[in-house]
Amino acid sequence: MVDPAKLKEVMAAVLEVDPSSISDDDSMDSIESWNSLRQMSLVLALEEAFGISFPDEDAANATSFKLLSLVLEEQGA
Amino acid sequence: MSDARTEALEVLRGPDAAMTDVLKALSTLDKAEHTGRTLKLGIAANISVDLLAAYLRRHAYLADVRLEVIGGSYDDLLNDVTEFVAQGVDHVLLMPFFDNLYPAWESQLDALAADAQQDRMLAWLSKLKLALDHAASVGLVTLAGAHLWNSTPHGAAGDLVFGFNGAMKALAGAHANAQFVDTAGILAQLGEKAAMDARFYYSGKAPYTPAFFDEFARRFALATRGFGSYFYKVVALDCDNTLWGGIIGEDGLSGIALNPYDYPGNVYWAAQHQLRQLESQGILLCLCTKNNPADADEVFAQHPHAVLRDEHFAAKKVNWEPKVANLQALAKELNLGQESFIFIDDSDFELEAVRTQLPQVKTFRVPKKLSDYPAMLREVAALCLAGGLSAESKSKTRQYKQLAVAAAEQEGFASQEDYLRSLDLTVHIYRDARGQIARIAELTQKSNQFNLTTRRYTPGEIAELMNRPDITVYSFDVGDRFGECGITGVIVVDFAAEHAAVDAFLMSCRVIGRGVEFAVWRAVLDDARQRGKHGLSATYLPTAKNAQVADFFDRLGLSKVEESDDGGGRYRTQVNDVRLADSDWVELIDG
Repeated sequence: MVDPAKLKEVMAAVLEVDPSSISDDDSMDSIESWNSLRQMSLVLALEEAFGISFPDEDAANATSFKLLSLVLEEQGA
Repeated sequence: MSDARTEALEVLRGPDAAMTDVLKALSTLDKAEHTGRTLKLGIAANISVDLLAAYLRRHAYLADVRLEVIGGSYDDLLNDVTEFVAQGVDHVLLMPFFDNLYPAWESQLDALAADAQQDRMLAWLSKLKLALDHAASVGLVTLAGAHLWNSTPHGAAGDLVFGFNGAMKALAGAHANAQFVDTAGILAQLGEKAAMDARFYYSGKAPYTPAFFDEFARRFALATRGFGSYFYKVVALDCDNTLWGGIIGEDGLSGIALNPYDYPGNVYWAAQHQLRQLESQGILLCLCTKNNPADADEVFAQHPHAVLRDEHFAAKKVNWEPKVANLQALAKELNLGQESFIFIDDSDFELEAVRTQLPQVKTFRVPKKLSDYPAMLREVAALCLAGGLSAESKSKTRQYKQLAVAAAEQEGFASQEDYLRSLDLTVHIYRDARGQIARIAELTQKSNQFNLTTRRYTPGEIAELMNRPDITVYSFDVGDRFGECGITGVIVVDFAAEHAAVDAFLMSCRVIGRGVEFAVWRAVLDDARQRGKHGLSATYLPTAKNAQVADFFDRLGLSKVEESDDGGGRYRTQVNDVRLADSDWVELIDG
């Protein structure tokens, strides 16, 4: 089970928002600073923090809190 | 808040900090109060470098600089640079990613005819030249070298990237404010897997990993001397177990370890070569060591494998006095501040004394694991040399030697003036000499003690001043029968108003006290008369370092009209009334 607090902490650091402001329903559409450039930084930071690797297609497409949790789970984080 | 700040800096200092922690620390520091300098950097690249900004800011904060990074548009070199100039950036970083100069450039090279390759490369380079021309007023422009995706290249791509980097270096050399930094070495150091990310290159034009950016930012900080926060000019050295193994006073000439053949002598021998190399690049070497002078001299004069010889040392303190006192004496003798010094010793006791009493001096300990010594000296070299020592700095040791020889001869003359007359002093004075822009800017950045207004100018700013018809940038060199000193002083005069106004006057300390500082004003007064100016006005702005020129304008012969509370002074004098201080033994020649 992925620790949601840890995931939100990484997201907050990369997206430059307060961790407490991130809800489980947030996505690229709801967080203004989350653009395609930040998505790449986010994936790199998550890979380092959780010690896993995102598959190519997920790296670009996992653009919500729930999808990121899912990928982390699938990759055994 | 200050605890949070200290903690955040500690995170940034850690070599293995996770990206998330680095970003959090940066955010903390951005919110904290910042008392150091703030600089603006624009990055123009043909790839996405979003993350690079974070790592550049990391290394800037470590140098107590808050860096504001402005990203350009994607692959829009000329417009980016124009925009950066409009926004008044201090630095510009140009980062051309070779494979993306043209789509999949590296991969299609082998299939292209040689002249087609050349045409495209030249087209790109002429764009780069234009960009550099546009950026002439920016303080510093850094060109990141190109490298291939494949770190072990063969065939056309390898040759072409080599030529491309050569051309970039040449362009940097032709622009006073530009420098070239290598990137291929980072790839070699980290390995392709750790440095590159093909996934994001093909999906989002972001080829680099955080590890690459971090190392690039570290090297960028070195190349810019910690974003302009330090400038080391002197390496002061202990002798026993620093320049050779063992103790010369006990082991004797044949007993110390220094040779090309076996351990540990070969490590010290390599170290001496590295120090010799530094000296040839303009860094001053000094001895600061507790030995009998005759013992140390014997090594430099007689040891069959000594690489460093007496002539390589600009000054020596070989005695049994405390090293702190000796470092202070060296600084005084060379007319340099202690913050210009690096000190290398093998003794924790000596190093600790220097660290606590002279914190401005950067200290290095000869590593306990001696085989790490050459790597440590490479670190010293990187700190000293950065990117931009100008060619003229190379003969520094020789010039300081001239000073010492001249000082020794001085004792034989009846009066100071007799001595000065015997020197055959000549000064060439230049007006708006564009070929000297880099050196002039370097002087304004480095001169602290003989500097009346301590205004720092970048090469770009000097170029702009030279462009203005109502402002003259004077520079002068000094020669005597012992040799030439090169460009050693700068005057900036604004002739726009009724009174010609002196904006800056500074000199390298090694030519002070010979009347040169008075003689050069003949040229300024001549120009003022020719331009129909009646008066000359000047200001002395006191700093922590320039007390020695507090009364310079009084001594020159100007009249003080106002004195400020902090000891500063304003001067104003009628051009026709002024009687300049004596300096008729100096011949002034228009350069």
